Amino acid sequence: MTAPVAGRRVVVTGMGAVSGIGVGLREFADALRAGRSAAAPATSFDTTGFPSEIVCEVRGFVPGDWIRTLDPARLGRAAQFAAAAARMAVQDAGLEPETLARCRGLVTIGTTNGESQDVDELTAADVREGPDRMRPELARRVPPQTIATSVARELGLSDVDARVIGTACSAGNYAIGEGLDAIRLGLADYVLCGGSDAVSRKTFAAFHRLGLVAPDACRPFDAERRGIVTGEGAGVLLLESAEHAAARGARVHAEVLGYGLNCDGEHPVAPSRASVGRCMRLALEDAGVKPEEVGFISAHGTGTQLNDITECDAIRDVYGDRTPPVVSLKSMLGHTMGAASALAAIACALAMTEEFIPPTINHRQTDPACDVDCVPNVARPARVDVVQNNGFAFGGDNAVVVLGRYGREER
Amino acid sequence: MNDTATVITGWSVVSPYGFGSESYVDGLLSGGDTARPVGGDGSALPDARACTVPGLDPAAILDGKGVRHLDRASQLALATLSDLVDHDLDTGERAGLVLGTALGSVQTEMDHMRASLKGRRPHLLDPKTLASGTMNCAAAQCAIRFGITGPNTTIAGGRAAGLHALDYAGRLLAAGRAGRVIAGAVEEYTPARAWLTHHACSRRLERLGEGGVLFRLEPPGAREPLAHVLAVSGRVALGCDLPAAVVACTQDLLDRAGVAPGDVWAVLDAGGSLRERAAVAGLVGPDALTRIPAADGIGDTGAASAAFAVATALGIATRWPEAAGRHVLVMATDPNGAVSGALLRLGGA
Repeated sequence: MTAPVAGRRVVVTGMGAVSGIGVGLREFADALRAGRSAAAPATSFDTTGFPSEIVCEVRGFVPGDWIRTLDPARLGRAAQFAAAAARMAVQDAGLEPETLARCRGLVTIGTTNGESQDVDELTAADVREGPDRMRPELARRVPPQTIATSVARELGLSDVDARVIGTACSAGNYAIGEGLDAIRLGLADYVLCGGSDAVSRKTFAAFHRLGLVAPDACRPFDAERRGIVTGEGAGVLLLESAEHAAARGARVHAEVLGYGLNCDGEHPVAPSRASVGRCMRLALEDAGVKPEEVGFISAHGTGTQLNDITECDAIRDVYGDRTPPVVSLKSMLGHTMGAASALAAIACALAMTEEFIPPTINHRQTDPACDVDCVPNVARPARVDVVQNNGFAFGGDNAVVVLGRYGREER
Repeated sequence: MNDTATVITGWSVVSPYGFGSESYVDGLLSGGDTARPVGGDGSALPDARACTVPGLDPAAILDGKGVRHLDRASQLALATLSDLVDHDLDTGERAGLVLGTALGSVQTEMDHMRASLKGRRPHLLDPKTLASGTMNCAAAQCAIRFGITGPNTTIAGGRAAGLHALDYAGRLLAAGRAGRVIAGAVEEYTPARAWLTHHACSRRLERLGEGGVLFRLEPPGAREPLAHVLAVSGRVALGCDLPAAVVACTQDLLDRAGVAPGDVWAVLDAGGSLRERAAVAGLVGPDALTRIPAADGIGDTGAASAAFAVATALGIATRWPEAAGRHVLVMATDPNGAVSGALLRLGGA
């Protein structure tokens, strides 16, 4: 194995969250601590005839509150979420976009379904009136890369690579990891990274067809868990080097200690215990962290039968009898797909600075086959120095990010 | 700022000219048009002809279940990879795969939505196609069927998707996250892409094409390089000023690689406008833009456009001795403002 590349230390100095439990960092943090649920009957699409109607939508989001340069009406919902979250992250970092525009940057945003609502509407137009009746303005914004270019254009950032990571439900962690490498290797001065996705009928239908949708609530690690609740939102983090942050006197939310990537290479849908465990070890090794230093694990935690057992088994393979609390943000946020691990990473950073472990809500009785302390239903006060954030995807694409309290020790 | 130096040590292509790099270079140099009638299966299309890959039958190339049910982009990716993969070099935990796309799995997504709207129940989609419903299907299938269990990444990057893949793969190598990475891009001709492109471009002159292009990337030193990837960089044009962004991107590439503008032997432009071409010509001189024939005969290959341009440079290097050691610039722009470029130095000097 190659030793981790030594390089610049990388810190998170700005964060923006658009979620079903809160829009803006303060609302999001308060909702995490309060254990709020975003689940409610869908309003974005018609659920007539589906076996359930519950999704985790973003409500009360006014794009114009955040999007100023571009016309929000000309952006798809995923691009709106991402541009708003990026604007929040830059503000939160105490930076002016004009300052960033003078530096070399990277905008890397993960997504599972891109502008899925636009694709649904284009298809509906085809079904109703024929393919020549599709709306051109929707066709133009369907390419997923437009999510990243919209972030750059909204903030007036020209000297950036702008790309979208399409690695499904772990894409947010992929983007954070790419950001870590770009700063570590000195290839970018700052990075805006994260994930964004919008709920859609097509996604809802596909997960129903797989038999993976819970009818009422997402209950990770629970004996009676029934699956996911599809969700939406965006999380964007602003990364810079620790030296750069210190030089400008920036407040630091967390240090990105390391990450790991691998692929099961086995099955299109079912996760592999051995491979997921290997990804966690890669991340801990990259971070230079021993398992006993990790204060809690933010699990992929979808609330499906298979994921939760496989993930808990893999965690025990790595952590043994010193397994820390294992929580699932998806119990509150739903499965926000490409945004999931980005929003979870933001939650991990907030948990360290605000000294609590976010709860796994909707919990009744832990499945003995999972057998983890999932911090049921009520947030737990705790001072945690290192957090592991898991993200897995169909196709076996695993990405694990490790965050630490900045200055927790001289490393 | 030094870029991470990586080298290309292998490549493969599935193109409208056929399977394999030789047929591509033959077709490129002959300049033959590959457009064929489309819509023979009765599907409504905006095009009468397109530059499709003939005889794509992945089940004939690959054993195993379910290949026929995969989306066309995944089939093209698997066919391209099967021609490149070296089971000692390119598989296992230290091998990565990075695949560029533009529209993701939009055909499958639209099929699912159509089934949801028209079916007896709204969730009774065809279960055999569910795995193709996410953008990472092609890359994941490559990993599953060939045992590539290192980093596996899908990047949506428009025409320049292949350049984003090269850039990302170079960082994986520089960060030590993989020892070898196969990177490239794939594009499919499907009714969904044809209609979306038809509506998105009000005046589309070029026929649509498709294909797959993959490169093996390694740190320098292991094998004789076919090309050095000196620098890859991107920008976003503000206020629709693509020519200015193209010039800035080119200048950035030259500065990073320490190459003088006059030393750029050839420019391959993957779908830029005349204004953008003129902007690059202003920097490196007009001769560089016509040095190598463009692969016009395969049409607009969308996400694979820039990757095909890199393949063109590699192919020319196998046929023209005077190409050895030359600098080649590949540029790509997209209507959403994205601009990307790569500067290569061909091997064999």
